[in-house]
Amino acid sequence: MAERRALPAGATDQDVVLAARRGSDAAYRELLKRYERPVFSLIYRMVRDRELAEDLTQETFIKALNALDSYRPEYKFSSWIFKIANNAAIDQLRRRELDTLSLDGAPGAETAEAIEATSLQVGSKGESPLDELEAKEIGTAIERAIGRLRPEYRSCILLRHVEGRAYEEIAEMLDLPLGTVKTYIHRARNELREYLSDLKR
Amino acid sequence: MTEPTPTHLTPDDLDLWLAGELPPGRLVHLDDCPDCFALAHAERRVVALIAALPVIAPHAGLGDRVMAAVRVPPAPVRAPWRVLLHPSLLGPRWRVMAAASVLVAGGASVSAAWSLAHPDAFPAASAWVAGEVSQWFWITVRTLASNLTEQPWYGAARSLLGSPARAALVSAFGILLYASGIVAMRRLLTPAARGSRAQA
Repeated sequence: MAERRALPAGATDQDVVLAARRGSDAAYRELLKRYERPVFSLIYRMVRDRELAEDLTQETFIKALNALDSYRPEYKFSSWIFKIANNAAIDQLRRRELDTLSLDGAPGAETAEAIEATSLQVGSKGESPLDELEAKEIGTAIERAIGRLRPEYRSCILLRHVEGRAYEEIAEMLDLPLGTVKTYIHRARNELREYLSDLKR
Repeated sequence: MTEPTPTHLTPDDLDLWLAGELPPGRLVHLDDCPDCFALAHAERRVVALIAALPVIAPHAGLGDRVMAAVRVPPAPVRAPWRVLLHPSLLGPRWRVMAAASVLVAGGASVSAAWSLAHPDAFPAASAWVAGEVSQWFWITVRTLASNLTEQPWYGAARSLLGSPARAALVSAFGILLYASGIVAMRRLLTPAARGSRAQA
């Protein structure tokens, strides 16, 4: 029977993983709670299709949580789960060549409802309608620009500037040499600068 | 003599600048070079735009779907004595240590006091225990010896060790047999070990 004891406040990822290995149901849910959104965001921005991103996020968590015994606590749990998520997204992109998708919905979306359901929703709440529209336009432009990058550049730039990961960590996650990661990120920034040069300041 | 042309900011310099860690020497160049200044500020704007992207939430229910497919290992069953020794029952570690120390010191004191109050009891008990142990030891030795002499091979073995020369010969043969056994085992094991290394 799974253990249902609550986790101590301020437990680190390593503590939570240890509790999960001991059969704590609450620990599994805690790991999900901590990483559900960042992992989904990364995959979503990689594959640019909500339904597919949900499937891949689910697949990522099932794979990771069922293999907790193979996780080595000397590494960050976040690096481990992002590595699995990125591999899932890259594999999917290679299989279905989705990297050239537009922001206006998944390739299979043919009806107006399907396009709406699969398109990226950006912008933040609590702003005036005008600000919201402007933020949405800017957000859409950035998402579109990121979507135009090569998948390798995209994962590097998202991990670096959205997730705030160090170059060394990204290199470890993506199994790439440090120099390659730096090059990818600099090239990605150059391309983004070009794509976003027309954006209102 | 003309001043050397200062090199433009490298991508690594730009990273340092974005992190606010560009050395002052390079910062001077940034102020003097309009190209590098424009590049650095454009880069900072791009980074700020990316960093401001919102975290996107999946539809509700993803967690439940994941949990339905995850195999949570069964919680280990705790032995009753471990439950009794759990910190939540015993209190903090220092308190347990203090209680154990008091118990040991108290026991030793009571034992010493009792021994002083009954000076004859300890030698009498010691003599009784020594007598019992000695008796059991000799009974065991006699039993083993009588069992040995009743074995069918006992006569032959005794005649083999009848004289010191024979005993030495038998011992030498035994040692030789043991040594050749060791050598044979090593020869048998060595090729297997080499084979496994080659496979690895």
